[in-house]
Amino acid sequence: MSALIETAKLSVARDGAAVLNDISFSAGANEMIGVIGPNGAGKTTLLRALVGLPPAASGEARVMGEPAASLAPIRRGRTISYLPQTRPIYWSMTVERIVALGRFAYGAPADLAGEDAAAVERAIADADIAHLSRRPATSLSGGEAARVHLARALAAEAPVLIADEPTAALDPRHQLAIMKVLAKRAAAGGLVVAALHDLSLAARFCTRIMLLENGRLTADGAPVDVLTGANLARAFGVPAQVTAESGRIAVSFD
Amino acid sequence: MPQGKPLAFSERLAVALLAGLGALVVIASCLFGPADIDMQSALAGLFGAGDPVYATIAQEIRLPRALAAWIAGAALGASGAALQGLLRNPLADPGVLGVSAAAALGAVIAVYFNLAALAFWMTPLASVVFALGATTILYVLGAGRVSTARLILIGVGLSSFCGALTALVMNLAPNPFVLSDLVSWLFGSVANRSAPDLYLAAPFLALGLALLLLSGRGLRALTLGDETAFSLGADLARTRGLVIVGAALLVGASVSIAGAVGFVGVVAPHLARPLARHDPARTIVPAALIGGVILAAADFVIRLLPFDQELKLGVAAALIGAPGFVWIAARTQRLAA
Repeated sequence: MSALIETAKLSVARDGAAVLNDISFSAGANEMIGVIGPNGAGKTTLLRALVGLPPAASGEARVMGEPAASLAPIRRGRTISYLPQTRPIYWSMTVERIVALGRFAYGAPADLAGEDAAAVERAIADADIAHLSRRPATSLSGGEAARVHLARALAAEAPVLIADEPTAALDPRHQLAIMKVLAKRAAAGGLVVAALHDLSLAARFCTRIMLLENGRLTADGAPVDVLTGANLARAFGVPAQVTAESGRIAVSFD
Repeated sequence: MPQGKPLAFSERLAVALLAGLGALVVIASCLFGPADIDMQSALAGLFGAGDPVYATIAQEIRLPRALAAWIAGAALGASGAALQGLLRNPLADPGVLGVSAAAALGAVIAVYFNLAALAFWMTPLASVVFALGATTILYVLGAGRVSTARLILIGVGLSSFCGALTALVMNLAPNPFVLSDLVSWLFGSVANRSAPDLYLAAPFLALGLALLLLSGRGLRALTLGDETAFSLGADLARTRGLVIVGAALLVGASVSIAGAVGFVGVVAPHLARPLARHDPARTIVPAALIGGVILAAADFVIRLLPFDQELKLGVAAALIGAPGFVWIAARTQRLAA
């Protein structure tokens, strides 16, 4: 099986200081990867490098064999969906039209037809926002907006979905809903890479965890192998307890 | 799809109605004026029938002026809509941001140093070049990164600076009519426009509008911010270039025929946005049509007012537009964001 994402010695420096250091990994279909680590560990920088966003990286970050930073715009739009950490909506277009922007790389106009319309409808159903579709997208609550952005990212039906803290500032119900949708996308043959702060949530839904510390990838593997008390205590600088009950990992810090 | 056709139809209907309204105002404007001609003769004259004197007055004096007002308004409306989409800011307007003042400076330099003698298209070209400088400065200093308040302060500074330079150029120029001309350039006027003025501006206008329309899809993607637009597959460098050059062409050409008219570029897109269901790509055309109607109607009213000294078009536009600007500013939530 060929890798959807492949990095080799990926490094990013900002103002002379290394933000990412020698990150090498590869990932393929059906993987749901949780990128965890303390604030400032380089999670966002890693995800941005995979999308091809600045700051410029050295080393390699390839998406479906092509360097992420130099993908042709349309090719990028068809290969990668990206949920950035800040997700503004500047004009009060309807939810449906915001989701339709997910089809941008297919030349879709504002009024969709055919496969574009079908993809948008699937995304709206998956994110469970059909009841919002005629609402102005600027009038939504945090949980509603998060699901609208998720639907927009799903609508491209791109092989790679990269999400930067998709569950931040959401209540438990919305967190679960978002994680379930992402896991479903991975199970359906996609590759999902998500930066996450809730480690129990990461443990429950991810097939693989990557732990970043000070710009370095210090652990990479199945949740049970990465989410150990020793790893977490070292990375986060506070004592951590990991319990596994009936196969479900729970993390607490004291 | 649960929606679509009826609303899309109403969008097209609105565009057709606005275009028709613009034509009506322009024709109406040709029927009234200081020359004592009854409406029927003027209408016949406008279409080349009847008394040749009336035809000359309607076709060569009134029509170019009315068209100049409509064109200037349309150009400002379209560029306002596109600049607002690019800067993601409902208060971006060529007048407020100083682009019009920069274009006026370019035109004044061309006129007062007689550059038009070098080549007849120097005046619109100088306007466009200076407008281009202004849009570039604004983009480099502003887009997406600074607050609305700061962007507008940059515009105020740019505007004042270009206004001062315009006054300086006119002081240095060997021309006795400096003051009244200064007012025309800085406040805007379409008095005494002739058909050749319009022909000269036409290529710049057509090219500018074409570039802005090409930028529409990119502007739509920018609704979700730079990062998301980039990941969606939008070519942001291209979109920026199209808007910066397209708006400069339109504002430059509009200023070369009507001077610096303010506030149309903020009011027209604001009114157009609901018609386009807030889609920045679809706001451009209705904003142009509304801008055209506003300025053509304003000029029509000016000509009917019984003042000895004719009110400047830009003054009339500001009388209507400035309160509109304040109202929009007061309603804009992200002003300090």
